[in-house]
Amino acid sequence: MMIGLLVLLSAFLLVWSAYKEQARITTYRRNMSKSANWTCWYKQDFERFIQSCAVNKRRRSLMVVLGSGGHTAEMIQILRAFGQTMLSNEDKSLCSLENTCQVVYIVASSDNHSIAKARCLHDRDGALSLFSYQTLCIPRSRYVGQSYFSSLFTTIYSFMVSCWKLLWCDTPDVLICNGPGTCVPVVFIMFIRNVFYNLARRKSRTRTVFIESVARVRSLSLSGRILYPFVHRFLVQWPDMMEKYPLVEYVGRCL
Amino acid sequence: MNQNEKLNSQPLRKVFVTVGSTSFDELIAAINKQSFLAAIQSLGVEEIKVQYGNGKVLPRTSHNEKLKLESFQYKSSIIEDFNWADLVISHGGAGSVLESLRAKKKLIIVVNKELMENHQLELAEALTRNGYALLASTESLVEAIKNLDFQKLKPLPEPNVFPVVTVLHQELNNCS
Repeated sequence: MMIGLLVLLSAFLLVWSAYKEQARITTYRRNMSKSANWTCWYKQDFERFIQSCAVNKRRRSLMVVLGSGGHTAEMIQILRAFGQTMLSNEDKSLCSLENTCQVVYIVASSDNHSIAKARCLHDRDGALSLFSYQTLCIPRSRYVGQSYFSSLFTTIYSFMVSCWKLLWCDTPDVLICNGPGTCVPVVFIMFIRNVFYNLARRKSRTRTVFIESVARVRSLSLSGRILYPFVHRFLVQWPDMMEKYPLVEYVGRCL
Repeated sequence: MNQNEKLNSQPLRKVFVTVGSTSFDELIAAINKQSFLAAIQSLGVEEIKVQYGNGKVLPRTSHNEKLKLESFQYKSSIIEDFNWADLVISHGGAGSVLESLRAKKKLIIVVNKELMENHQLELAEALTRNGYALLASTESLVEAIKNLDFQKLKPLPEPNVFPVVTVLHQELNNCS
């Protein structure tokens, strides 16, 4: 009886704090999507970031979900530009760039192509050569052409495995994903981890950035629709989306 | 006569057909048809390259001496083929479509209707509405090639990654 009550109470607490976390995300996004309409690159944001790196002396960690095919190409493009802004920083004395970032790649298993591309970005291409990186494999949640019904089960399986793997990794500061099915469980786990961090009154929390694929013009993808309430920033690449979904930010085409 | 003048100013010698990383049997079947080959030859095309993916239908090997047909299944990078071609006939996948438009090629998009929710059509329609490419279905491909009009086409604006990068910097800032 007592145990049952306790379980019920903690379940209630969990649901309530998850609800609060979700509400916090919504307010954050409402502020962000109101505050600016992105048309150009704001250099002061980059400079503030470099400065805060210099002040805090803490290595930021970035988690990147790589999908397959077009998703990876888009993500590589974004990461390359991100690395180049770091390299183009003229005032190198502000911080030693080795201390700024480490990148964790999440790839669907059986996707060697994406890993190779990411590795190329660090080793050969040189854009991200200042960052250290590691990779984490999780099973795919949906194969191309798989039906909705069967993808439910593979998603659950993928969710369980990625839960197990991601629970033991370091908390990333920022999680970027751009819409392959693999990112759904990852974002959920980060959301749940944030809820627990809140309950424990700890500070380290993950921000999630979702970038909708350039292929989506008027409607969100399936993973986009699922993750819409749970990410801190939802970026879209076509302006038509802003009318339909109020909490997205239009950033322009990046491929 | 009018069409001839247009084509003289922009000669079409090489055509590249791509189906992307999956398969698109209907497109390959459509380009195997005699009517397609005849239509494309009347434009002055001399060479066709086909990337056919892992579908069941294979492109035909050779037609005659005037029209060279080459085909391959996959390549690690097909950017050279986009650069090589004068006209690209592509499936609706975002990667291929945008890559060929960035290579400043004339593009006919043939949408694969069998894919999930038919999201390829969205991008293809957005690009044709803005006048960056031409849209066709597998049935209307021959028709589209017969009345090609590239005069209305505009070049695609360059992409801009920096807003996204700014958002990343902001978020990395916030979580100190």
